[in-house]
Amino acid sequence: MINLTDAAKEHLEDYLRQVRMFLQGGSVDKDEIEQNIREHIESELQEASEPVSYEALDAVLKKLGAPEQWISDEDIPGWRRCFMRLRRGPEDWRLAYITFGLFILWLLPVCFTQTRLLLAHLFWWPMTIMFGPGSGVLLVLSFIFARATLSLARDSKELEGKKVLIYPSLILFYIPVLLVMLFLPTVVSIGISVGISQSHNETIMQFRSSYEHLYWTFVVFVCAAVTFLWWLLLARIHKGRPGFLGTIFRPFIKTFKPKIANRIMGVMAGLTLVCAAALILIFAHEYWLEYM
Amino acid sequence: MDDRFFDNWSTQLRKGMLELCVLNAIKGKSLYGYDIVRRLRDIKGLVISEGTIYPILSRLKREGFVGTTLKESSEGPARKYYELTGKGKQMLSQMNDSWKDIKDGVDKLQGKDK
Repeated sequence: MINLTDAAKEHLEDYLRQVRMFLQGGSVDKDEIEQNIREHIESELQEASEPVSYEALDAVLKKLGAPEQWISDEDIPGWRRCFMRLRRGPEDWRLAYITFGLFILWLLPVCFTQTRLLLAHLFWWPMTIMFGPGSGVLLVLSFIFARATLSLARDSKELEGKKVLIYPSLILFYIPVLLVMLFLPTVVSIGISVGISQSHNETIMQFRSSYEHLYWTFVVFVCAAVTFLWWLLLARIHKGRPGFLGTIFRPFIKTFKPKIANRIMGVMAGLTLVCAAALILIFAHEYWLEYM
Repeated sequence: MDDRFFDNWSTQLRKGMLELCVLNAIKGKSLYGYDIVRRLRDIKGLVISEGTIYPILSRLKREGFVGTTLKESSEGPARKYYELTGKGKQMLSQMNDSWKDIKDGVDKLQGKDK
């Protein structure tokens, strides 16, 4: 057994402790490896002057390398892999774990407090979760880190294992964005059309028998027409800038299929025409009954 | 960016090669751990962290490709010597054949076969 200085002895024990800690729970025999390391050090320092100094030992340990470089990923238990990636990167994995951590931090208190309020605020709780004071900041941060992770990934293969970490916050963020993007003008048009109907109440009330029909047909007509025109505009923007939707909803929308958009727009155009025709027919019918 | 690419590539290359080299190092003879490391570190660029060899030996032993025997040493306590088992010899022969095919193919691509 070689004779080490106190500092070297402490350094060696510290190194072996790291070796044991790192190999714990893995599939390799940690006692055998520790024995090999001791033999290796003794053989390397056989001709060194005793007691062996800290510097001489350190040179040998540096050549042996850090224990975490020794074994492949499949030899490391899953939970340790998570901690390792979080602690020492690479950077893109760290971002993915930070994304997930922020998402969980946001989710836990939200679930706890919102369960209590869920019944009382049934219709408002999703909005409170998303934009409630304080909690939304964590979700926004989580989303930003998720997008940074996406930007750092060179290809889809690099994203494979990270999907589970970054997708929850991306999905939760994209759903309201998608809904707003598709239906904000529709919602606004409902308000406007209801307002117009009510402000022309007297005119409409002339046609008493079809008041309800007329009211709702007008609202549906305005909504369908506005939605149709809005989607037409979105389709034009997409045609002019093909990467537009892909950039917003990365990585879920890679290629936008115009065929689907055309079908949806066809349905909306049809609905607009049907409503317009219904409106004309109702007016004509009421006018006929009233004045002819 | 180029450095990162090269580092990744050489790490992947080394990972596969180390097992082949460890098995070849003890082909036909038994060696103790440190001797195996010494033989492999002479190959330029193969061993970055010398400690990497020991978990590989442990894994090869667990898979039954290498066996160990304790032998007395004049320089200190008994040492553990590693040697190929029958299963290890078969595996090594398979690995060497595979490596030869790859090497020949790469040589051909590089125009070294002419």
